[in-house]
Amino acid sequence: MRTIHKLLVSLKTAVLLLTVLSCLSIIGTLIPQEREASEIRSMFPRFGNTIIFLGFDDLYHSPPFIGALGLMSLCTLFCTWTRFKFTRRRLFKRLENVSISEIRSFHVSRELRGVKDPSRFVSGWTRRDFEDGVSVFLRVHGRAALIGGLLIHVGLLIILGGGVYGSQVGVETAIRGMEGDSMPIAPLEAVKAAVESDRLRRWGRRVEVESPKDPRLEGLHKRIDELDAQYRAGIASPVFEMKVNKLWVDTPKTPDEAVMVRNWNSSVSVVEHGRTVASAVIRVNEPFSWGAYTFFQSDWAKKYHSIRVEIVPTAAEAASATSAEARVVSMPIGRPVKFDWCPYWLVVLNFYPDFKIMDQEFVSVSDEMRNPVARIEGYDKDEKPVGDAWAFSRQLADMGSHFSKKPLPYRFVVIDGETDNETGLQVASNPSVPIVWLGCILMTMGLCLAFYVTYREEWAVLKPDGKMILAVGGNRPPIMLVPALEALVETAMHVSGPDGTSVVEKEGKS
Amino acid sequence: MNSFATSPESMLFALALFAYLFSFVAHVVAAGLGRENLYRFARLASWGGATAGTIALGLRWQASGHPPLSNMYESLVTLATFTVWITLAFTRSTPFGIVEGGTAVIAVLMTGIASLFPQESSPLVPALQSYWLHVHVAVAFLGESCFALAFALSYLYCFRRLVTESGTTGENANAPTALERQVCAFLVWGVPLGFIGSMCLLMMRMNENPETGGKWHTMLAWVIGPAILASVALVVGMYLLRGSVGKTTERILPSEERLDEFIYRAIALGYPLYTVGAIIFGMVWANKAWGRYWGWDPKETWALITFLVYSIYLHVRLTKGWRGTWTAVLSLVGFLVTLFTLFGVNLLLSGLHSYAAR
Repeated sequence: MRTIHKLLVSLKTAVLLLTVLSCLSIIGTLIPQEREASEIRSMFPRFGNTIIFLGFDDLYHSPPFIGALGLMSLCTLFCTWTRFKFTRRRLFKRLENVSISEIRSFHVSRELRGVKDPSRFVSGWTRRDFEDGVSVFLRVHGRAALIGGLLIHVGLLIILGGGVYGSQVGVETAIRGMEGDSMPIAPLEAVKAAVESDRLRRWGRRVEVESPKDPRLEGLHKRIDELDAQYRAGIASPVFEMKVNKLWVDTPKTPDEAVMVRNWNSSVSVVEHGRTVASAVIRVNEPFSWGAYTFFQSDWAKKYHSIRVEIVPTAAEAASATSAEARVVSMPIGRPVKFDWCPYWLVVLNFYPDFKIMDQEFVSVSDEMRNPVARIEGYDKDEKPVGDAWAFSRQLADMGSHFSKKPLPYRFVVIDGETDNETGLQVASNPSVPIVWLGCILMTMGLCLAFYVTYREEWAVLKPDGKMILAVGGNRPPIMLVPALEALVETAMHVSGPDGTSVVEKEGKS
Repeated sequence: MNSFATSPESMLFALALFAYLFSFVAHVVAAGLGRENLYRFARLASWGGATAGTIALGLRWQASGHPPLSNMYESLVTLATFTVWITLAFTRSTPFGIVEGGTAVIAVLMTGIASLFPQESSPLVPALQSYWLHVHVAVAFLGESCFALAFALSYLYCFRRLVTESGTTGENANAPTALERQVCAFLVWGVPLGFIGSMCLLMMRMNENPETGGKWHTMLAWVIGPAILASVALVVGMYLLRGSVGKTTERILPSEERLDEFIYRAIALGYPLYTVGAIIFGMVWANKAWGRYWGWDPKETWALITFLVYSIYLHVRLTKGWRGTWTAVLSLVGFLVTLFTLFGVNLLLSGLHSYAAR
């Protein structure tokens, strides 16, 4: 037991753990976190399995990290207790515990001889008399600094404790909605069940990849089903509904006419039992709290519901068709549409307002209509596919023919699109936050006290032969304490009276 | 260059840049020749540069309506100005020419690198529209400026250790061991070479980007050039003074003990500022903006790593009583980690703080 205690209060252990935590944290920023096992394997073909085995793809919840953090917390706890005892002694029993040799070992000290009236000099100082006739006097400045280190460690412990408590009782999820949508907010327990189900599902997938016949899987699936049922029940009887009234974006123009988003605004109402009980506008940095939940503006998307397309018949089609003119039409995304002048049903299957090509596939870059592409398919009246077409912006319109497998007899150009806004709200409930803030306040106070308040002990040792040792110690480097010693020496010589014959021996170590 | 380059603000930044450069040269010459009046000129140049930089920052703040802390350009010029002010305050009662020159070089390089990034002041993205931007970033930058000062001191400490005469047993009991000397040599030569190498890589990368490709000459003139010049000056100086480098260093640099104490004081000043500004205020803001105070975002994680490295420094120094080379090495590592947290994360890792990479 004593060995364990010794190990936990050892500075070597603390430094080792701080180093381990730093290294693990670095790894966590280099490996993408919380991805699927298959994705990790494809990203790191050589080390993928090792990364998954060690849990480094979810490093901050992995056994090595949690273990190191737990040990660090334990170390901090033991060190805080040791520090508490030490601080108490320093605060209340400093004089009782001092020895002459300790005062002599101070880096900033000086011995004086012939101080005529030393009792005047140390009047008001606390005093302790030793048996051999030596008297020790102490004056302390900035006593509050002593509790700085203790407060830092207590604050850190409270923050860590708050974090652990938060991970047990807190939930974080997200909801998305468009104008007019009502989003049911499930009770806390149901949301916790969903979060837990999600965690287990991810773990289950990993176990399944490693060993598809793992006996734990059956119980796991059963548990996931139970949790999902709990969540569905929660959604079916929500504590309240969040109705999206209006969504808008503030976009002031900059002097160079560039459009810049100033804020995303979600006007919402809380509906309980069919009755609106509260309303608010949620913006970034302006959250809204209701019940156990706080809602934060965390995401915003433009949802394209239709695009305007210019359709021009190809030369062959123009020859046979009644009209060769270009037409600009609105086409809904994902729903078939039939125009009188076209023999086919047309449907926009995919649309990216701003694309780039990666690994020979179209990838969406942003929601802004900067570089659009749409995939359009044509069907006959029997719903059989007759061809496809790729529509780009006017600048890239000619690219369309390169991608079509069986081109439709039209050339399509995307003109613009019609959008609806979709808001994404982060929903969080974390009762541990006030605990964490308490820890932060204590830690801040501790840092200010420990590093910015000067603690200074001024010692005077009066020997029976009339010699006096003056020494200064504290929480500053010796060089910063020298002026305090000089001032003490000056005062000692001064108070000894005008007829004093003080002799200062410059044998101090300052 | 756009019209922005001729604005009073840009001219003041340019003035600050030249003042820092002059300050560096004057400090080195003053230390070399032991000329007190030249030191005063050098210090005056630092004052002038810092004042010009501060006025320019104020003008930018007034023009844009938000504090100049929102992108890479603004971060770098603010940090450069803070670093010079912190150094001036730190050396107020203790003249320390070489380190003042060292931080002037850091300010020149920061301002030089800043000029590579877009200088236009644009409205704040929604995430940054909070008064927490002022306190979180500004206080963290003050802490980082103290770390920059500690870095300059630590570099000088390692340099001093490297050139300290070995002496015979008993003659110089504090002489560095062979390992210490090797580590110091690695850092003294490795830090400038590593910096020049990484800047060359950055220049090549920027050249591939059509938006920044035309700025290679700025990089060469204001970042790589001065760094090469300073390194060559170091080599030439050591060559010219061969045989008496140790004695000259002893003359122009304070004792190892004082350097060590200065390093500690700079870190002790910066550590609370950094912890409160970067981590605690960051947690409060994150909780308000994103609904959670900690999310293991790369920027948050690297800020924590920076905090941990300096925590190790303070623990080993205050509790274990470590002094000298190894704490100076920790301080150097700490600042390199700080730089990565500030800029490396923005440029190399994506996360919630990605807007800062502009």
